Amino acid sequence: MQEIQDKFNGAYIHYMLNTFTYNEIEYTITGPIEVISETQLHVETDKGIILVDDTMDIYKELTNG
Amino acid sequence: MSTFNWWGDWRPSLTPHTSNLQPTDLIECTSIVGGATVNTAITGAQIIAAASGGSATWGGITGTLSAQTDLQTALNAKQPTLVSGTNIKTVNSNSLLGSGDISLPSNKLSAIGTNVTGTTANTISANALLPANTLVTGKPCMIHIKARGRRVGSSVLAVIACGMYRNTSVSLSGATFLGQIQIGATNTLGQFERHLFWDGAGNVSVHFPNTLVSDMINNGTYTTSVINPAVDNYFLYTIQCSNAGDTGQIQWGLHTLYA
Repeated sequence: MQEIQDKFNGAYIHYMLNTFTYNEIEYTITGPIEVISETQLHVETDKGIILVDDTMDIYKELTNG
Repeated sequence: MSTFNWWGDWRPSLTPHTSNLQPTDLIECTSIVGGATVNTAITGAQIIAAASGGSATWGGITGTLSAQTDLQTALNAKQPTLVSGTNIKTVNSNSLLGSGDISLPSNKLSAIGTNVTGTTANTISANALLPANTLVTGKPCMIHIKARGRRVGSSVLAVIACGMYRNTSVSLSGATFLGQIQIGATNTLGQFERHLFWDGAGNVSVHFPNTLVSDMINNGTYTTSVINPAVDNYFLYTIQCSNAGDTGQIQWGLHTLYA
């Protein structure tokens, strides 16, 4: 179970997705997802904390979850 | 009677010569001039001097090269043909043979940022290239990254955040987060630094948590991320204003490699 925390109000949203691929690299989500702006997330993965923005397909999947 | 008008004058008192001509050898010739014999003496030295005035045609000299020992010795003293990686080293796997220039990546690279305003999105203010193959497989090193951010002007809106990322392009999409600090007061500066360790195999690690001013003064865990050293990588220095009416700037960012 993954969770998204809003940077500003601290609220958590639980989310089940745990892997995504970007630029042919597969990432496994390993920790909280932080909303850092209206179009950007910080996603903690097995390959570091990745900035996910609304130009990436995974952004829509995460925020619609 | 013979009609010859010259001949060699053999003297039985002299020792016959059987080896190579020497400068001290003496050759005498006798000719008949007006019915009288006229002797002419030629020394070996004269013949040798006359012969040395000739010249051989280049390419027409025959014989065995190694028999000319002084020439062979000089040739032996010459450096053999250079073969990259065999008798001449390479630089970061680049051959030094041939013409042209090999530009070596600097171990220091700074960046001057631009103002970020009018948005609350995390935005690149400055970037610095880490050229492909700067990080070498099998050669671990430390990359020291530091930056100074500035909250511009005298507005009293909200804090700004200064961040560090890395990516294979000048884009925050998919960028790896390295660290961040916040600047509260207006027209003030904030400086922070991180140390990335390149393990020589394909990964870099950085201190965690990522909101420290300096990872030199705190112990802590670290996060590891994959990096491809064969392609260009960029360090991205960002500004995020909590209020779009505020302005921030990365004044200066720098990364330095310590091998």
